[in-house]
Amino acid sequence: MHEEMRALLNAYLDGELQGRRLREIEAHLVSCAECKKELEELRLVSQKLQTDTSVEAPSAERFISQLTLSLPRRSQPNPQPKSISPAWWLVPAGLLMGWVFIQTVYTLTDLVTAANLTGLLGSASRWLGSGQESAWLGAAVTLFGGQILAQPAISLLNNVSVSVSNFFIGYIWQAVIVLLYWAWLGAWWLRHKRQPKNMENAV
Amino acid sequence: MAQPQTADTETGLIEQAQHGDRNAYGELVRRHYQGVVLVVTRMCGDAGLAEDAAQEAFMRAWVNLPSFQPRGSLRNWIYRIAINAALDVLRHKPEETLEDEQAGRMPDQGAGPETALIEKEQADALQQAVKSLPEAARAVLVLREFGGLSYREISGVLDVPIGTVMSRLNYARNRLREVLSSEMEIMEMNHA
Repeated sequence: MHEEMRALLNAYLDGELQGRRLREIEAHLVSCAECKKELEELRLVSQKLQTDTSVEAPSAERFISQLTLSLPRRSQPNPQPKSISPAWWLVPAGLLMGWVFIQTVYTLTDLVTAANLTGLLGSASRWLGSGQESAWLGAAVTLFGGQILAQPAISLLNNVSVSVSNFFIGYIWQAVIVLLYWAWLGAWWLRHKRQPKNMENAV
Repeated sequence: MAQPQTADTETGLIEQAQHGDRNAYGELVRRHYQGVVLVVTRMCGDAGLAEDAAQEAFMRAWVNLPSFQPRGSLRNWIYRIAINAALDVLRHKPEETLEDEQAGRMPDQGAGPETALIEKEQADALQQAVKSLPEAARAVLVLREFGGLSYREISGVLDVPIGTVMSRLNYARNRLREVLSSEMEIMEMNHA
């Protein structure tokens, strides 16, 4: 209790205590001669510091005239910090939506392809038709005739080729979105850097 | 030339100075000059260094004034700049400025010679003790004793919690109290 009150002596001296704390320390000071003595010593230190007249400020007028002469020019008077336009936030939001859209399309495509390969789609797979064919298969069909599609190994190769192609195209789209997002981050950082610094950074 | 009515208020002066009006800035400097000089002098413990620090502080304040938000306290903002300017000046001071500036200070002639000597010795001892405090504790002490800032304001200026302000002030004042007590004991022994 004594140490706790002792730690508050300066705050009490500076009038920084209120309410319960103030009442507690006032009550403590009535009964504790040691704290009372310390408080008086702290008060004396404060008085001595504040009444020390050894600091003689140079003439304000001379100082100000020298200062105003040496003040640098400000190229951009009063640049107010610009609020960030909502359009700025539409860019990352649009990129995110684009990414979600592409992911959804490719996931659905993979699911449909997988269902088609396993025969789950049944006769409904007919509408997929030529969309599943790679360019090399189209060329082979033209060269060898429609019977080539009957070969299971060729069909499998075709499906693998379509899946790999879809896989890489999906990654290219994602890479494009990531690059656009980085570009946006870079532009935002540059814009933020050019704005005047806040009060706390100004010193 | 008649100035707009807002020119008399600090906010008006700040606005004008933010637009590059050097006269308005000069008036702002005049209003805060004494406080800043007191703070930097106590931080530096040397009149020459303090003048450099004050010059640097007001220069930085001018450069950064456009980003100052008038809803904040200009005095606290300038004190913050002044404390940092004083610390920077101290870090870059040449060795030859380390001499004790109190050496040439004369005691107050209004008091009796013995009292004046005692007061001078105590003041010198206190000033030396202030100079010897760690920078963080000295900044809190200076802002409280010479800047007249509240704990909350000091907390804002130095960007530290109020609890830290209290503990640093406790440390600084207790250190000075010890110096003053030992000084008084020595004097009592000398005069016994």
